[in-house]
Amino acid sequence: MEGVAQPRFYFDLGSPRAWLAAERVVEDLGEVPEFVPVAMPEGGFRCDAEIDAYFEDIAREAERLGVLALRRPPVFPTDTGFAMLAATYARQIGKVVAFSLGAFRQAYNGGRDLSEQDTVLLAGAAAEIHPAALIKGAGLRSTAERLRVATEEARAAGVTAVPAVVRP
Amino acid sequence: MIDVIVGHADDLTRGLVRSALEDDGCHVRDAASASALLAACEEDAPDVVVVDIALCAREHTPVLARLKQDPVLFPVAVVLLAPAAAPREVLRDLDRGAQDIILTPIRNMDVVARVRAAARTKALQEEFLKRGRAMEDLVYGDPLTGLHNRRFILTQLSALVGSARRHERDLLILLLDVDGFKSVNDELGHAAGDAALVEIAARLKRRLRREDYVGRLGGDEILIVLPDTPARAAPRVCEDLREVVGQKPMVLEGLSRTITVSGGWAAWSGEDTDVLLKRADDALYRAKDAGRNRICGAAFAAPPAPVTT
Repeated sequence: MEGVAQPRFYFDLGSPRAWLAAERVVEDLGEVPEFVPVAMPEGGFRCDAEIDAYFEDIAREAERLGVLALRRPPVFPTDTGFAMLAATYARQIGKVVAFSLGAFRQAYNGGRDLSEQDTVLLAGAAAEIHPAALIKGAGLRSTAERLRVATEEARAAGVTAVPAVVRP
Repeated sequence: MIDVIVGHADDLTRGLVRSALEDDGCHVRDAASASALLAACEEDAPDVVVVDIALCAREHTPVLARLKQDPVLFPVAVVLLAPAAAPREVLRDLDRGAQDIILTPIRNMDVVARVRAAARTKALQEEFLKRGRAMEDLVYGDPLTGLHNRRFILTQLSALVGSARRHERDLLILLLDVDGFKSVNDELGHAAGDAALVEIAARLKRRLRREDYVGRLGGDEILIVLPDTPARAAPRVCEDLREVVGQKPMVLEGLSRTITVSGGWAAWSGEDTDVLLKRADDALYRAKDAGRNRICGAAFAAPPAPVTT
């Protein structure tokens, strides 16, 4: 078959930089990339001041890019384990773009904590995924396995941090 | 081999059921509690669960309800072990999705016969679901290209317009038309025209996401629906799809030929589906009129007229 496969956009919902990239990736690439959730949360902050400086940088970048203004989530870094499993399930059912944009906006425009199940379910509702289905889908062993495999594939492709775009 | 999980609190009864089924060649696991039974099912879904009605009815872990409400485990056939003195409970659980009942005290022949029957029914249900999916493919698929057909893509577009309206989400559509398709058919034959459509479909599908929809409206007209794709991204995204089709020649009936497409895109801006399609169609006509092998964007929809009284 002729033709080039579309690029892959790797993201972790715990990364505000990935939020900024997700908002602009289609426009900037000029192609429709496959959204792939991978477990690569941001971390390594040594103190609150460092986190404050980081978010000031994110806010400036958001303004520059013209995306909706940043509202900091109450906890950062936070546990996005369930949210990432939900994103992986959303990918499986063909709703990962809507779900992940919804989750990013809940966290970084709505200032909500993605470690809370309700926040994730709100993002699911925006993607028209039934809450019971999202909870069940995120809890499946096969979903956890898919997230693990996607993360390993990203690492094998040279991705060490998100956001990242890779052309297979 | 039938995969069975036996759930009963009593070691002796569990052992009897297990040995009867193992003697018949079944693969058997067992569980002494409702939670252990559900955990075993989650671990690896069996074909049949044989479970004591008392274990099944425990309110804190309602086994039958949990299995039948589970999107993965619901096909598992449940056979109840019940005393003859509990007809009301048995009828209730049969109504709730249990497949069959084995009266206690058990007889080996009963256990084997009912588990075999339950497994057979489950296999038939799976076949039925498979046929249903195959039927859906026939009803909603385009047999030539493997794309969605007109009925499906237009239904899906309406649903996505509704979703975009409810959640204020972006939605982009692209209408493509093969340039000079008639001449391909006339010069190379209809088989070549068909092969060109198949190749175009394959190139487009390879370039789209899982959430995007691409369908053949009829003839050589293709509709692509891209949810969550903003209008500002449309020119480059649509141009990319045009290039994907035309950048390399196709081999049709042994001849190398470059096939190009023209396209018109429209970003949803609050209008109904037919208006959105009309805007994309108008843009497509402009692309054709402007010399083909190009993409044009639709003008934004006019805002609805104010209501006057």
